[in-house]
Amino acid sequence: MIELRGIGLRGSGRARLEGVDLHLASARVYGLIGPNGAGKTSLLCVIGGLVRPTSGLVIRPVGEDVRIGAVIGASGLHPGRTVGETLRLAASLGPGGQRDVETALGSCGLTGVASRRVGSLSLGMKMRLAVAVALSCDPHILILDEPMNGLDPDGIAWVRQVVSQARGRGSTVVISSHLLGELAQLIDTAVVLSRGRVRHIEDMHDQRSIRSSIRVDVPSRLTAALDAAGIVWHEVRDGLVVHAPVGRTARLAVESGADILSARQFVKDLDDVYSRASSGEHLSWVSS
Amino acid sequence: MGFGGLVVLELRKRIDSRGAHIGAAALVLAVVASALAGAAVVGRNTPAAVAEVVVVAGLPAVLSAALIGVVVGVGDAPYGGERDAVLRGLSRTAVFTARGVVAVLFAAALVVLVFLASVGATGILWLGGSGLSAEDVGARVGELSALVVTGCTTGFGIGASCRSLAPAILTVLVVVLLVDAALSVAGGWSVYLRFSTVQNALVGSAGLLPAITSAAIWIGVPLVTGWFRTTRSRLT
Repeated sequence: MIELRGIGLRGSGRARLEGVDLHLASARVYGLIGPNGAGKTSLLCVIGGLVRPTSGLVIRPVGEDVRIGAVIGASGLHPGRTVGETLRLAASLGPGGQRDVETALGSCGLTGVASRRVGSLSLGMKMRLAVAVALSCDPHILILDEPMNGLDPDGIAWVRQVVSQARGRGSTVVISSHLLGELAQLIDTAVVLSRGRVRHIEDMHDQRSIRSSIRVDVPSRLTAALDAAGIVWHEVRDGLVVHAPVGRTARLAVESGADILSARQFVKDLDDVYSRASSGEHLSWVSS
Repeated sequence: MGFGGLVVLELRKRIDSRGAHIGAAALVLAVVASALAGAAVVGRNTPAAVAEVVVVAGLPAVLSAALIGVVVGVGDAPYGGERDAVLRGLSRTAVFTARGVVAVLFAAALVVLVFLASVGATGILWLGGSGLSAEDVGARVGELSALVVTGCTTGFGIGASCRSLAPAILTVLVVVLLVDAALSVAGGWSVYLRFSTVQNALVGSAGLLPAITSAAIWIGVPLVTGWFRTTRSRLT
C-alpha cells in the first residue's frame, strides 16, 4: 500500500526522523510505540503527506487515488462550526460527496449533536468526531494519533471496533498510543521508534514466537508428543508453556490421550517488546 | 475533487461559522445604514447624486475589505484547515489559490452589496419625489471596486502570512491606520512606499512607478509570504 525508504525529517534544528524504512501493507494494523519525542507523530504526518520529508522516498501505488483519513489530535476541528457542518464539509471531500450526517453521527456515538458547536463538545466527543471526519472519505489508509485520549471505556471499545472494521475493509491502519495494553489488542505489527529511528519491528502474530500454556491430567503423554513433533516446551508451576499456538498444542494433547484441564494462548506484551527493542533484553510474556 | 470544488469548499468554510454570520450581519447593517445616511444627506440637493450615495455607502466596505481579506487569508489555518484537502491529495498551492479566489469573490460581493444598498436608498428618495442624477455612478463604483479589491488582497496576503487572526488583524490596522498615515507626512519620496499609492493609481491619481513599488510592497510581498507559509507550515 505504501512504502517509506530512508525517510529523514529535520525540524527545529534537530533530526525528527532518520533513515526510516517501513512497508505498510493493506488490511493490517500498525502500532507506533516509543517515548515522547521519538518521532511518532512526525512519522504519521509523513505517511499522511502532511509533512514533506527532507530526505528519502514515500512510495504510493501509481495511478491510484489513495484516500487517507487522519486523526492527529482533535485540533483539526473548527470550534465555531457545528458538528453537522463539520461532517458535511469532510464528506464533500470524499468520493461519495454528501452523506447522511445523522447516520454518520450515529455510527460514532454522537447522535443528536449535529447542531451543536464543536467548541462545546467534551474532549472525548471531539475525538469521536475527529475519527468520524477521518472515516468520512472511506480511507485506504487510516492514521490515528493517540485516538484513545479523552475517551471513556465505551469510546475505547468503539475505537477498537473502528480499527477492526477498517482492517476488515482492507485499509491500512497506523495508530500510535501510549496505552500499550490497548494497542496490543489492536495491532498486527508493532513499530518501535526511538530518537527518530525505527528500532524494532515486531509481528504480533509471528507463529514462531507464539506461546501457549496448557494443563493436562498426564503431562508426560503431552511432553512426549511435543518432543516427537519437535516443539519446544518447558514446565512451569501450573502446567506447561509450549512454543506453539494453543490450537496445535491442544490437538497434540488430545492425540496423545491426555485430558486438557485448561489451555490458553499468550499475547505479546508491548511493554516487553518496547523494553527489548530499547535495551536488547529477551522478550517476556504475559497471558491473554 | 477539482479546483472548483475546492473553491466552493473554502467558500463554505468561510460562511458557516457563528463568527462569520455575526460579521456578515454587522457588515450588511453598516453598509445599509451608511447608504440610508448618505441618501438622507444627498436628498437635500436637487437632483440627488446617486454617486455620492455610493461613496458614503462604500465607506464601511472599503474599511472592512482588508479585514475580510484577513479572515479569508487566515482561513482555518489555526485548526489545520488545509489538512483534509492535503490528505485527499490536493496541493497546498491549490488551497491557497482557492482561498484567493474566495477573497476576490467576497470583494465582488461587497461591491455588489454597496451598489444594491445605494440603489435601494436612492430608490426611497425617488419614491419620495426627489430628482436623481446618475452622473459618475460608474466611475465611483469602479473606484470602490479598486479600493475594495486592493484592500482585500493585501489583507488576504497578510492573513495567509500570519496564519492567525489576531496578529493579522493587528498588522492590517497598523499598516492602514499608522504606517500609511506616518508615511504620508514623511515627504514626497514616501509615495513609493505607501499602501494608498497603489489604490490611488487604480483610480488614476498616482504614477506608474510609485504604483508598482507600492503594489510590490503591500500586495506582492504579503501574497508571496502567504503562499510560502501555506505551503510550508506543519499541519498538525
